[in-house]
Amino acid sequence: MSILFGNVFNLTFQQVIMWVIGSVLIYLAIKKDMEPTLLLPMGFGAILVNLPESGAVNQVINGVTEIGVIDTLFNAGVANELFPLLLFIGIGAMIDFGPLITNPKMLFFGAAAQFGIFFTLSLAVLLGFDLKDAASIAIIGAADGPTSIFVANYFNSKYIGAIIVAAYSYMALVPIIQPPVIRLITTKNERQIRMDYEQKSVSKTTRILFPIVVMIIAGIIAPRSVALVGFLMFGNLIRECGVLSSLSETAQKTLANLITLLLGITVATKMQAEYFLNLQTLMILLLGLAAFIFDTIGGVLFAKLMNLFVKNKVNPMIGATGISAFPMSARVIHKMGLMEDPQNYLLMHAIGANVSGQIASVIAGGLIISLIA
Amino acid sequence: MLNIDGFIDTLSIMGYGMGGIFSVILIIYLLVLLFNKLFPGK
Repeated sequence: MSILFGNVFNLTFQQVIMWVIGSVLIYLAIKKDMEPTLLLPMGFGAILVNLPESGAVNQVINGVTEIGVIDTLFNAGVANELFPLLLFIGIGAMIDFGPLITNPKMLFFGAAAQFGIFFTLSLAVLLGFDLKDAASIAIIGAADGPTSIFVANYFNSKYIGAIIVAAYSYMALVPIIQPPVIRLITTKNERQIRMDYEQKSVSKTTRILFPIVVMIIAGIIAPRSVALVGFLMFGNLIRECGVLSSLSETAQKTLANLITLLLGITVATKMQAEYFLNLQTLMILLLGLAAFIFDTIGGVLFAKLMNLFVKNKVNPMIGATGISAFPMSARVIHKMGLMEDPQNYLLMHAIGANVSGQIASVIAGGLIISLIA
Repeated sequence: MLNIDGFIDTLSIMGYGMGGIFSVILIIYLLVLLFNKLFPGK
């Protein structure tokens, strides 16, 4: 009997807590539909890697290291940044930059709403994290899972598990985080500002030039991270070129699904109890929340600033959609606009700013790497 | 123990970072305006 059940006595209290955390992630994914593609594999993985002497992760048994498949996947796909980059091809193929190109003013909200990243970087350093870990934590504010994984991995942060859990959890919680923050810093009159939308078409030449030019500019300014923006724009070029529709479809569906399938369970290796259960994890969760809040504040305040100088006023809530959580943030702001004024349709403006956030968050990730590495 | 010196050091990163993002976005903005002018949609 001891051969069969002896391993039960190797179970630690910390591992049981991780089972509970894994179960909560699975519950949130299934019952609350919170980022299920990532939270469900991560939740399952959190339980898998916290079984006593789990063969899914590397174990030293009797002085011999036994290789676990999840650690192998981590080294093959995450440690070398391959999975997040491949996922970016799929994301790029999914994005329609049309609403942004027809209304390029929205680009600036994407920039302003990255403020939370840099504010959180300073806050994390103030709280005692070293600069590279602080940068890895701050990038939660990019509201973009692959960028968070890329940057945290680039800096070899030991907190990558907590960072990814925070990044994906808060992206799913955008409908809860953003509205109270926006109400706090805007007046009812500001939230009722109407914005006219003129439907315009974008030429195919512009759609093709856009990803190429964005890649070149971002690559020149932040060369170390050009792979990030490059793969995103490569995916978009496949979409827009018009001659690779089957590749575009594969990137959007098969490739993105395949990478997502492996990514969640692979990063769970960093959710082993000894790495995950500590005060720093709690601090990272709080700092991640701060990043999202200050992203929102940055975007809204920039819109208010812009209103001091422009004739056609911008609804300041649009500024909040400059975060990369796409399309949740745009939907949230559209709904808030309708609640304030049932005739106020902000969706297309919000989509434009939200798409801009996708570009700006990747650039922010690149700049963080360039400034700190 | 709060790392106030470290915090002050990071303020320059904040400045360079936000400045960098706005610079890139401004260049992209101007180019998009140019493209829309040169290649208008139908």
